[in-house]
Amino acid sequence: MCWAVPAVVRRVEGGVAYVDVGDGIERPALLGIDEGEVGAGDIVMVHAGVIIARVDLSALRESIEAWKQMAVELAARAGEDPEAAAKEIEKEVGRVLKIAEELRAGARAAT
Amino acid sequence: MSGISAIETAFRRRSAVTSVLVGYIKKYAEDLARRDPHYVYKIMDFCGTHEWTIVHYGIRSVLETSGIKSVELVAGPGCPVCVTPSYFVEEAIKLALEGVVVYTYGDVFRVPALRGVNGARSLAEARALGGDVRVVQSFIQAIIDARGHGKPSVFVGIGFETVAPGYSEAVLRGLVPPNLKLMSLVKLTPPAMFYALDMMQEKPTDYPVSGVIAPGHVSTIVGGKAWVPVAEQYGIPVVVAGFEPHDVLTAIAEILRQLRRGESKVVIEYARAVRWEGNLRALSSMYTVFEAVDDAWRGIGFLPKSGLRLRGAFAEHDAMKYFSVPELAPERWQYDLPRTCRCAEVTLGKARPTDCPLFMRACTPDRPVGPCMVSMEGTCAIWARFGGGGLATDVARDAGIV
Repeated sequence: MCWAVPAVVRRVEGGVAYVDVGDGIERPALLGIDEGEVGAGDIVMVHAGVIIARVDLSALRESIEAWKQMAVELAARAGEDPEAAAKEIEKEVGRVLKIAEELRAGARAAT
Repeated sequence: MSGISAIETAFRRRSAVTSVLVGYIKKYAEDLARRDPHYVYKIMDFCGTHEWTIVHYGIRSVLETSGIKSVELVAGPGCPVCVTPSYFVEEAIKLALEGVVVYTYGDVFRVPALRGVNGARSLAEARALGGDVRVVQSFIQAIIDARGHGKPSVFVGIGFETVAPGYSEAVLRGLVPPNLKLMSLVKLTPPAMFYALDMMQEKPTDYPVSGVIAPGHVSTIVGGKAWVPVAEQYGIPVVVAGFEPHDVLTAIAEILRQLRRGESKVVIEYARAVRWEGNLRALSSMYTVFEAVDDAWRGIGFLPKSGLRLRGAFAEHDAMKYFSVPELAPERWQYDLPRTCRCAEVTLGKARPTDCPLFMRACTPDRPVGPCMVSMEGTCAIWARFGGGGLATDVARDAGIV
C-alpha cells in the first residue's frame, strides 16, 4: 500500500497540517513526521491522511547526476556528443526543480 | 497548467531521460545475455503502486518493443486489501448488520468475503441491507465524523507500515473519541517479501527472482535498511524506488548494473523521500501503540511477526476487545479464497492475472470474485484497467506500429 499523493502544506496547527493536493481545497492531514520538519510551502507525500515524508527535491540532484552519467556513457558509445547529452538531461529535470521552487515561494498556485 | 499537476507532468514527459534509461537497460541486458542468451532476469516489483506505474505507463511494453527480452517484471504482494483475511471482512460485515457504524477505505468496502453474512458478501452489500457503512480516505476523517454522532463505531484499519503511524499518532494524541474503536489489520511488508522469495526459490515456476524493486513509501517509514536482510540472504540487488516511470526504469537499470557486476546491495533511488534509517519518529510511535504478531495473509496463511495489533495499554481503543471479535488463530485459519481464484499465486508473483481462468471472464472490476480484482493496487484490477499481459503490444503489433 504505497499509494500516496504529493501535496503542498498550507499551514500547520495543533499537530494537524492542512494540505492542498492540487484542487485548492485544504484537507487535514496527521503528521507522521516531526512537526518542526514541515512548514507552509513544503511539498509532502500524503498517504491515507498521514504525511509520511517531506519531499526533498534537492535529492533529485543525485538522480540528475546518475542520469547524466548514463547519458554520457551511452553517447560516447554511440559516437555522439556526451556533453550535449548531459545538458539535455539537465534541462529536462531543471524544469521540475524550477516549478517546485515557484510553488515553494508561493509564486505559483497549488491548483 | 500550474502547481502540483505541472510538476507531475514535467516529471513524466522527459523523453531524453526515458531514452537514456531504456538505452542503459538494453546495454546491460545485452551484456548479461552474453553469459546465457536464454536466461530471464525476473525483477519483483513488490508494491501494488509500482505495478500500477509499470502497467499504466506501459513499461513492460517499452522494454519488449526495445528488444529487451531477458528482463521480466513480476508483481509482488504489495496490496493490503488483497491479503486481509476474509474472516475479518466477515466480522466487519457482522458488526455493520448489528448496527455498529463501520468506517473503511473504498477498496475494503467492495472486497468480497468468502462467506456471506446474512446474505451480504461485502461491506457494500451490508450497506445495501441497511448497515451503516461509511467510506473514508483516512482515519482522521472517521474520527471527525464519529465525534459528531457518538454512536458505537469501528474503523477497519487495513494497510502496511505507511498507515500505522497515522493510527498510532491519532491514539497517542488522544484524538480518538471513546465511541470509535480501531480494528487493526495492519500488515508488515518485510515478512511477506521473505515469504514470496522463499516460495520462488523452493517451488520455482521457472527462473528465480534476480532483483527486487522495494516499496518506496513503505520505505519512508521502515527505511532502506529494512531491506538489507533481503539483499544479504538471497544475494540479490534491492532498489527502493519512487513511483514515476523514470524511477522504475532507473531501478531496473540499477538492478541490471549490479547483476552484471555480481553485486547485491540495497540502493535508495527514491532519495527525495526515503532515508536509510527511515522515519524514526513514526517507527517509535508505531511500536509504542502496536506490537508485531503472527498474522494471517489471505490465501497464504500465517506469516511470523507480520501483523500489528494494539498493545494492552491501548486496549480501550481495540475493536477486537470491545466488540468481542475473536482473534484468528493458526488452527482456525482456513484457505479463504474462492475456488479457482488464483489471487494468492498472483500476489506471490507465481502467476500472472492472465493465467487465471476467471480473469476478465467471471471476475471483472465491476463484479470482482477475488480480492486482487478490487483495489487500485490489486494486480488483477490494474491489468484489467490498463491492459497488462501484453495486450497493448499485441494490438500495436497487429496495427503494424511495432
